[in-house]
Amino acid sequence: MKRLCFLSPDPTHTRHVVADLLDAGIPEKHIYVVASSDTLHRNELTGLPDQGPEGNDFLAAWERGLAFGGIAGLFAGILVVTFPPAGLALGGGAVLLIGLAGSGLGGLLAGIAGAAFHSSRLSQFEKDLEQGKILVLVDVAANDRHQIEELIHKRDPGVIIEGIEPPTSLIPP
Amino acid sequence: MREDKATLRNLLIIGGTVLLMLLIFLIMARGIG
Repeated sequence: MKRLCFLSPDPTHTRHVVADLLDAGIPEKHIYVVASSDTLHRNELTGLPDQGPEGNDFLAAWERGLAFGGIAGLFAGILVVTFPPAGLALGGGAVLLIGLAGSGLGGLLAGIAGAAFHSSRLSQFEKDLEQGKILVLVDVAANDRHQIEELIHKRDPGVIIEGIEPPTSLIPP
Repeated sequence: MREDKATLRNLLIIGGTVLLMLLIFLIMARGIG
């Protein structure tokens, strides 16, 4: 599976391209249309596939928070066990538990904060999105890639199609 | 539609993490107490 992404200049063009892709046999669930909130609020994209999990950065931030929180928690656990607070007798299990708690807290806070931002995977398109352009993402089988690229070029010969790997998240979408 | 699904999944992750942390704190509280 390969994810192709390209910028479409306006909603009408997006509609045509998405219709072409659907005609080519790509299921709707493999197409994502990402736009800035301004464009979305003008309701010009009604009826098109939505941005799905690419809409915000929750999952990526959650994974980062989990890792950093876990590391910080482990260090805190080691610290507490090495220099125990007065009156507390802590065993090795405390390191593990404090590590897990740190991991959970880090993931939670980072995830909630990340949900307020655009997907960090799409940061290179941020400027174009703000200018009103629309980003279309298509998941295609590796073998069909050239055929689909030709199809997109037919509608707009100047379009630049980039390939990014589909997300390999911990939790399937 | 898919956006709603993604939001639901995020909420499930948040809920799961909160439950997990409650469990950890309970275990720790029992251990210390």
